[in-house]
Amino acid sequence: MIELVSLSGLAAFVVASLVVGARILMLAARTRLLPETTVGSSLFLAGGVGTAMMIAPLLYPRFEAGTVYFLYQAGSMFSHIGFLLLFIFVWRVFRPDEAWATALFLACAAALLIGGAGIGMAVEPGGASPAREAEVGGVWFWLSIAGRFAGYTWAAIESFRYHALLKRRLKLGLADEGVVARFFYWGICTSAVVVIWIATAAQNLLLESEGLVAIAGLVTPMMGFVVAGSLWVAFFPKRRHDSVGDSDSVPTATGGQD
Amino acid sequence: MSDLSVFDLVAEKIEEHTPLNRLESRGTLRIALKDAGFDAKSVSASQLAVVIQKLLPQHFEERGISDAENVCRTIAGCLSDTTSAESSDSPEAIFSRLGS
Repeated sequence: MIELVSLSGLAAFVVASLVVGARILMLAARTRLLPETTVGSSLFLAGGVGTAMMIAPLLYPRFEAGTVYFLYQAGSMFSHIGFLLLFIFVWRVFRPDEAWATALFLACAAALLIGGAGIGMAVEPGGASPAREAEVGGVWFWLSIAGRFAGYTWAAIESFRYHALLKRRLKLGLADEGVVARFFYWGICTSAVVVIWIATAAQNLLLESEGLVAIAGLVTPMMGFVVAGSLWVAFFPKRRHDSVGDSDSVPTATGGQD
Repeated sequence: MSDLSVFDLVAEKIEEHTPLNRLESRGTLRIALKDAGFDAKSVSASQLAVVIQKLLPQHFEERGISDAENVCRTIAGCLSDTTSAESSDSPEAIFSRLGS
C-alpha cells in the first residue's frame, strides 16, 4: 500500500510536470521569449522526462542492468539541464540587473554542473542501483544537491516575496488576483522541491538507520503530490475559476479571499 | 523633464506643492510606494497615479499637510501627459502570460 502511494506521488509529479511544461512550451513557441522557454523546458525535462527515466526501474524492476544504467544516466542529465534552466528563469525574471544575483546564479550553476558531471562519471555500469551509488558517491552528490537546494530555495523566496508585493497592489486594484495566486502556488511548488532535496540529503546522511531512511524516502512521493497540485492550480486556473463562476474566489496566501 | 523618472517628477511636484523639502518629499513618496508594493525604479505613471490618489493623502495628513486630497489631485494631474508603459518583462507580466 505504501509503495502504491509512493509511486502514485511520483507519477503525479511526472504527469503534472510534463503537462504543464508542454503547455508553457506551446506558449514559448508563440512568443519566443526566454522566461516561458526556460521554465517550460525545466518542468518538461527535470520534473517530466528526467524523473520518469529515473523512476522507470521502480515501476518495472525487470529492466536489465544496462538499461537501468542508461535510464539513470540519461535521466540525471535531463534533470540537471532542467534544474539549470529553472535557475536561469529565476535569475532573469526576478533579478536581471543585480550583481549578487548573477553571482548566486553562477555559483548554483557551477555546483550543479560539476556535481552532475561527477555523478555521471562516478556511477559504474552494471550496478544494481545507480541512484544509490550516486547518492553515496561523496563530493559530487553533495555539490549537485547543494546547487539544487540553493537554486530552488531562491526560487521559492522570490515567488513568496513577489506574492506579498502583489497582495498590496491588489488592495489598490493594481494586480490581477489570478496572477497573485500563481506566485503563491509557484512558491509552494518550488518549496516542495526544496523539501525533496532535504529529504534526499537526509537519506544520504542517515544510511545506517533503515527506519529513518524509509521515512525520508516517503517524503519525496508526498511532495510529488504537493508539486503536482500546486503546478496544476497555478497554471490551469481559468477552467477552475470558470467552474466556480466567480473570480473573487481565487485563493491567496491566506487560503481565503482578500 | 524627459530624463526624469516618474518618481523624480512626482517628488519634485510634492516639493513644489507642499511644505516638505526634497528629502522629505522623496522619502514620503517612497514610503507610499512601498505600502503599495512598488519601488521607485519600476513603477509606471499609471500605477503611480493610483498610489498618489489612494495612499499619498493619508501620508500627507500624517505630516500635517492641509487639504491633502486636493494637493494629491493636483500632483496626480502632472502625470496625465506622462507615458511610461508597464514593462512586459516584469515578473507579474511574465507570470500573467504563463497562465494564458
